[in-house]
Amino acid sequence: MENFKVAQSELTDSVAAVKSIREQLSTVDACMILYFASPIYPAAAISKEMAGAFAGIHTVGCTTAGEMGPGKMGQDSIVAMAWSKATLKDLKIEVLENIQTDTEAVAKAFKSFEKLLGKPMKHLDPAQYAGMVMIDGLSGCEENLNDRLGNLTNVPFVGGSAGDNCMFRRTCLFVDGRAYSNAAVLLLMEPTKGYAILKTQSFITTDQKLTPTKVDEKRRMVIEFNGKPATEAYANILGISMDDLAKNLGEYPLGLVFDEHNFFVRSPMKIEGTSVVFYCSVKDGQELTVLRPGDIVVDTRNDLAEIEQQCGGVQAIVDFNCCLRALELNRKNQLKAYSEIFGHVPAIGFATYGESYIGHINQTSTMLLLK
Amino acid sequence: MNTIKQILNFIIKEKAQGNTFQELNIQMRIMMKGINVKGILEGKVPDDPALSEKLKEIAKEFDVDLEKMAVSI
Repeated sequence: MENFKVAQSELTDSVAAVKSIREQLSTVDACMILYFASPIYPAAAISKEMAGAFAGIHTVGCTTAGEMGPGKMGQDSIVAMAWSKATLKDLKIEVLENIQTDTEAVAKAFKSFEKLLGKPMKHLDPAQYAGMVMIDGLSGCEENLNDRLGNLTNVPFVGGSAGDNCMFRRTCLFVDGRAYSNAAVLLLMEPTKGYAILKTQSFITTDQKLTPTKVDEKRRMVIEFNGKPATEAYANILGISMDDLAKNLGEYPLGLVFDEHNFFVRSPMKIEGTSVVFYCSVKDGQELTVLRPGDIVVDTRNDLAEIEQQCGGVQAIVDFNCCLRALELNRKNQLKAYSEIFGHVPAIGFATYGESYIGHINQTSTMLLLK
Repeated sequence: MNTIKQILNFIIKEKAQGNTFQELNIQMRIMMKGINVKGILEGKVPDDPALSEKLKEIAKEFDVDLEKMAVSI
């Protein structure tokens, strides 16, 4: 009996696509189906179809800005991973609704977990338990939500923000037959054979620094860097014109650097006047470092090989891959090469509107690896 | 050792609950909250009442009781 099995369907009709997924996964005695679906499928329908097709099994997932299935990456498909009952000793799922207004949503979910577990989340062993989180990618709540998760437990929650093929209209979470927006879903898991987490990004740090001196944190906007209008300081430090900065803004992300090996990418989204809006918030006075790009395929392959070796092999991988990386891979005709990195193991993933690990981050692949 | 370094060290140790592997993650979590963790731990950041208050807020968020710190010093 297989512990993990993955499936993909590119059928555009949601009923037919789910039927195909069901058939492909029929050999697994599953406790959960984790799935990522293109926004081409009506959200309510796909969630209902999946729950109906896998009656008695948890069905959890979200919409995407692209899907990664068995050996293939692209858009307009549904990918799914069946987790056999042998893979998890325990699985608890909580939906957080109204996350834009309910500041206690995480605390409420944790209370529910604690009731079921009979012990406080604060004292759960992070070596024993793993968390997964998927968040409405248009909610703007990721920073607060990740912050609350880290405040209340040391169990790591990895995941990503749901996407919608970069249309930025509506993103959805799916849980047991229902579809949610303005919501997040938490999975608290006790993997039978343990787990590991990989966060990889293809950048190197430089000596060039920019410090936000005036920000609108809620809007993820930097108004001034180093006491100057943000675009002026940004262009100056890169040694390029303001026009070039505007044209190629996405090529110049910044990093919140802890040390050479641990940094968090802050990707610029757009220019508004002389301000720069990022895909995740930056804080006033917090020094950022200019990053230089590397090769996503080479770096991901190397980092994955290293952690797999440390683990002595893994049984399955869930990859939360930033949509900006997916766009770059597509532009460089490297989608196939990227998906082939995962060819040796059951793996699914999706192109996110930001990844979750320690905080809300950009331009990474953040992976949950099941031993 | 200045006061902010003492407070930060205490928060990290208490939150990590004796798990040294967790200490790095906790340091990065605190950095995400806008604190220059490296600078403080390397003794490069002078004492500052506003920063002390911010660290006390973080202790509260982590459910770390700073009252215990006075006893442990």
